[in-house]
Amino acid sequence: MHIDGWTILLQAVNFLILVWLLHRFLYRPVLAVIAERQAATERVRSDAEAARQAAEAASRSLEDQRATLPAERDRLIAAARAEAEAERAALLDRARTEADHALEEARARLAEERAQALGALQRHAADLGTQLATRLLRDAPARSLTRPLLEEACAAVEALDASQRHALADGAESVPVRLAAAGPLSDEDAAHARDRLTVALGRPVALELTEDPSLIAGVELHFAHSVVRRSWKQALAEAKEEMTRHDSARTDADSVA
Amino acid sequence: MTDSPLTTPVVFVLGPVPVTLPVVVTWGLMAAMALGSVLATRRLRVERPGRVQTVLELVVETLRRQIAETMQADATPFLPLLGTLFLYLAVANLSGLVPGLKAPTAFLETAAALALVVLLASQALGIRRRGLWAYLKGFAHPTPLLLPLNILSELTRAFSLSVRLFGNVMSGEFVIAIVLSLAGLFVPVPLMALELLLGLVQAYIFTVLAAVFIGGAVGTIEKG
Repeated sequence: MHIDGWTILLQAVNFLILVWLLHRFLYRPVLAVIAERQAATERVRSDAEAARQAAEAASRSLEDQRATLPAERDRLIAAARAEAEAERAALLDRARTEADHALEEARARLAEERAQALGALQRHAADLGTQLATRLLRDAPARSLTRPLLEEACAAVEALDASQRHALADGAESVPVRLAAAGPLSDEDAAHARDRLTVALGRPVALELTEDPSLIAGVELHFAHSVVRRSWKQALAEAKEEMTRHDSARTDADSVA
Repeated sequence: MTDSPLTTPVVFVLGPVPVTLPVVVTWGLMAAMALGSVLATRRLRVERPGRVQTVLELVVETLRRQIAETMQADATPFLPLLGTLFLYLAVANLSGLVPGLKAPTAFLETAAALALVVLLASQALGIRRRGLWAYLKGFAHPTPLLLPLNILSELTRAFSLSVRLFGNVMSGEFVIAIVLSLAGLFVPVPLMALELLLGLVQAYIFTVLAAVFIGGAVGTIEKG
């Protein structure tokens, strides 16, 4: 048996060359393709994993949102209740204010109407009183009262100061004076009045006598621009006016109160 | 088939170098394997690979997985050497079944050359991976008294590799040749089928043993 050393050497070299050839043309490209496919698979797997994690995150987020829904619902209900309560309170306040305003208006209107009614009633009462007094006094002995009232009228003219008496005379030579009496006046009383007036005015007086039953009792001295009244008609009118004014003031005070 | 199976026929002489039959056949196999690899890997695709690409990926991935399981380590750095060893042995062993061809592994020189490459590769890889001193210290393990025996073990393992491969392939071809000369055309067919199986088995055994030796040298597995 002979072992050829050259053949051993050549076969070893051949094998090493074959190792290089297969490494270059077989293993390297095939392994590269396998590695590339594994990388692609890994990419797909990682993408799928990322998608799975994203889906889990979304699921967790939805779960969290679902868990917070009752609290959110309670909060919204509480907010709606508070808002409704506030609106109700505002409506009540507004209604109360309007009611108070309406009540005040009604009270004011009622007070005004009451004052008006009371005033009308007082005026009516005064008229009624005046009419009653007029009727009662008409039957009284007015004649006996004419003279004193005439005396008072003359005294009133005499009580005026000089300028006022001059104004009554109105610059005339003979002062025209109309003497209205409630009943027939005696000549004596007329003469007495003419004399007192002549003296008071300082010039002659042309006295015109008239009868006016509406005076009830007393007289009126009608000068050119002024009248001196001393009659029950005037007294009753003044009393009525005084009474009406007094009652109106009292009614106003009651209304204010 | 009148020549002795233990002789290596010289095809031609190139200066002082006699080019023998296994060398020439190996050249042919190398050319065929390299050309086939080039053609098969021309159009590799990541998506929807073809049948040839699928077979190639299956073969390469199976080799890598087997080497990794044997060496208990990442097989990628060792794939070119051990994968080529298996593929060459398989192709070379089966080439003996082609009429007119004689398997290169049926000659002791080819088996010895492969065993020598495995021996040198294991030493080189062991030194590169573990360092020279640590690697040499491994021969004195567990006791320096075993240093000669460990060195002898390295040599005898390589020798046994080559002789096992050479004996199996050569004997198979020799038996088939004898039966063919005695019994006629179709009688050796079962023996040839058996030889087909034996060729693949021997390629597997040689590759696994080489992986074990290299794994022991680089320290990924216990040295046997």
